[in-house]
Amino acid sequence: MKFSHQNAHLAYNQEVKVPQVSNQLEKQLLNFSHTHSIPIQQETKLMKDITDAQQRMPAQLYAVITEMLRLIEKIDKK
Amino acid sequence: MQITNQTVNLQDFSNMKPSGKESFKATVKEKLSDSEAILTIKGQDIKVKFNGDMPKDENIQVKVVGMEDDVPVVELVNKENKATQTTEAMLPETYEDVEKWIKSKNIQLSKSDIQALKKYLKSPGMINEKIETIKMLVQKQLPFTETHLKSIDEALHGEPIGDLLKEFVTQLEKNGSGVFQMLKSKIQQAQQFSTLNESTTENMHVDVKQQENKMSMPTDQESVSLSNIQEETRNLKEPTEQEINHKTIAQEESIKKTLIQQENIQDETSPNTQTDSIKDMIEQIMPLINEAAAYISPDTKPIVVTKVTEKMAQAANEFRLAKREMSLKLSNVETMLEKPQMIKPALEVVESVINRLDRALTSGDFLLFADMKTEKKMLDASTKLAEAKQLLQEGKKSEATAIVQEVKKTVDSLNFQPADVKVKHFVSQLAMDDTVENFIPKLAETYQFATQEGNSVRHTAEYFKQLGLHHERDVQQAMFKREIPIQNMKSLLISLANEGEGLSKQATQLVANITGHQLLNKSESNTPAQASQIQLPLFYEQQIQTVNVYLNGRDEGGSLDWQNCTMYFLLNSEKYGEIGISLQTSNRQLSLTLKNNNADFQEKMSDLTDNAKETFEDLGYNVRKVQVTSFQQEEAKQSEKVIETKSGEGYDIVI
Repeated sequence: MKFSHQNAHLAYNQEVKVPQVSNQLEKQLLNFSHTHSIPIQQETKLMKDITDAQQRMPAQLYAVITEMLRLIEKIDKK
Repeated sequence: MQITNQTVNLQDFSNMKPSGKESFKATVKEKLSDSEAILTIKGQDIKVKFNGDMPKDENIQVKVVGMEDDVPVVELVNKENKATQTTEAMLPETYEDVEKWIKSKNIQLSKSDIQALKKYLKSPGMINEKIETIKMLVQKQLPFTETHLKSIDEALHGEPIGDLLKEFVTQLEKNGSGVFQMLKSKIQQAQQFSTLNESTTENMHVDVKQQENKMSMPTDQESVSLSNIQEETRNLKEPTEQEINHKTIAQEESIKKTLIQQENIQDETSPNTQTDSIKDMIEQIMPLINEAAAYISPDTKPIVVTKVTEKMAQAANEFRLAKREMSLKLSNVETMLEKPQMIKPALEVVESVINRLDRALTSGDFLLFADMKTEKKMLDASTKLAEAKQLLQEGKKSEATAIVQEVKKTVDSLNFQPADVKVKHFVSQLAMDDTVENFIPKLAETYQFATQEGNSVRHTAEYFKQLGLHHERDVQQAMFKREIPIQNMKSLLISLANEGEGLSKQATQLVANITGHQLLNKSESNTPAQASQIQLPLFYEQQIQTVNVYLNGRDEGGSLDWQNCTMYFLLNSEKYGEIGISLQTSNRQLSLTLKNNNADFQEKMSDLTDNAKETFEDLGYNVRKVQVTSFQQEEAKQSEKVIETKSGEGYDIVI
């Protein structure tokens, strides 16, 4: 794939802003983990992305996933 | 089937100018002639012409060298060269392009970003995969740190999680851990749990139900106004930073201490009654706890029994609070709907009840013990309230009010009734120490338990949690609640990776895979359209497999809109090869398509699809179509749809 401005528009039309990282809570989290010896990746930038910014999955989609996992097992056993 | 990431790849593939440099992983689906074939790239079938030799293997690597009549002309890439191929030679030109493109998205790169990008582009690997990783970071608005680049790369292009776990288990076994045997026995044990009839507990716990009724009946003083409920809800939220700093965290709490804590947050109107009720309930179910712990060694049994009892007391109290909060809010919605000017605030309260139900269903401890009827009633309540919300938005007040009243009745009828299978499963999990050797068998047991008939939401959410997909969020919650979080696979692997010896290499790779998928699940804040993907290990018949789950949908207050979304499940089955399952929902209208190229797949699977209608209707969907088809047929159908011709192919079962 040729990486260029010509095909860049295919995926990303909108302007992307620089992520704003507020580090206070993340630092607090890292301190808490350190104090209580909880294994955690020691990066504040990463913490924000994998805590508050996570997309939540509603209960109905967990139920759909469960049904699909059951179906997959049934398929493989056939 | 619209899978954003795959569509992007496909578009890139078909729109690219042949460079002869980049290559793609592909599977040969069908040889059409001596020079033409259909290749599958990232789950999508593409017709190509081969320049030179046709492939002998099924799994190949190709590069595009030209275009003929809009069909890409490809050449085979020697797999042996793959490992040694680096981007070093093409770095100057490519890196400039990458940096220019990133800057064209108004992203400023810091010195450390540039360093990380350069390092990443120089590392061994395929350039097209690296570009895909970088594009994903831009799409997800992620910073260009080494960890972000490495994690996304591992999630998108690394080995599947099931294979990584298999390798990990093999290494553990070499160290004489006996993990294989444990894995086998845990899967069997979980299967045995499923043979127990949950309803057998009903008679046993009649008294528990009575006690619970007593606990959850609102008193006169509990008929409070919305402002009181909001105040109460605020009180239930996380404590302040100050509180956290001034209190210590106790690792082991006795039953007595737990009950005192429960008492502190009881309704002020009747603290003694509430605590006594919980005590009575614990006494009632003590024989069940002892029965569940019967096979545990005498040394650890007292600790396990104490922990289970403590957890049950917490769960009973959590249930009581959740039920009361929802019931009071729904009462208020009923009152508010009587006044036309209060419809908007009523809508907000309905949304807050939906969120409360969702929180309980996906992370409520009481649902780890409660019988399936309770979970099902709560899921139904959530589905109905979503309908009421829709009706209110359309101005249909009376229909919405009727639904709210019905849901309130359902909520008021909820009872905390522990099911023996769930108590036994919980005891079984507690009885195993959180060691690396124990954790994969423990995970396998949770997977088995979650996927047994009858179980649905809470244990699948627990499986995600045990994998470590919510690790940091769980630690954050624990920090707010002044608790110590329960171990999960990611936390154990981080410890192992930090040791820097033994299994640390495999652990590091697994941590990167999990982190990468967490990052792929990050909300995209500047667009309502959300895309995420996860990889789940599947444990059955003593195998570990992987399923890739791609989700696309609209953002609905921080979560995906389950009524309008697309889900795609992709796995490689030893028996059938690649299997794709696509689910598309639009205003709760659902279409399900199973795809596979095996000759007898359609016939074999037809009876499986028969059950689908009932299953999905129970979840609140209207099933429009269930079909079994091949990847090629699906592709052909989509093309035919575009040129408006009638489909004569496929094995459609229209319900």
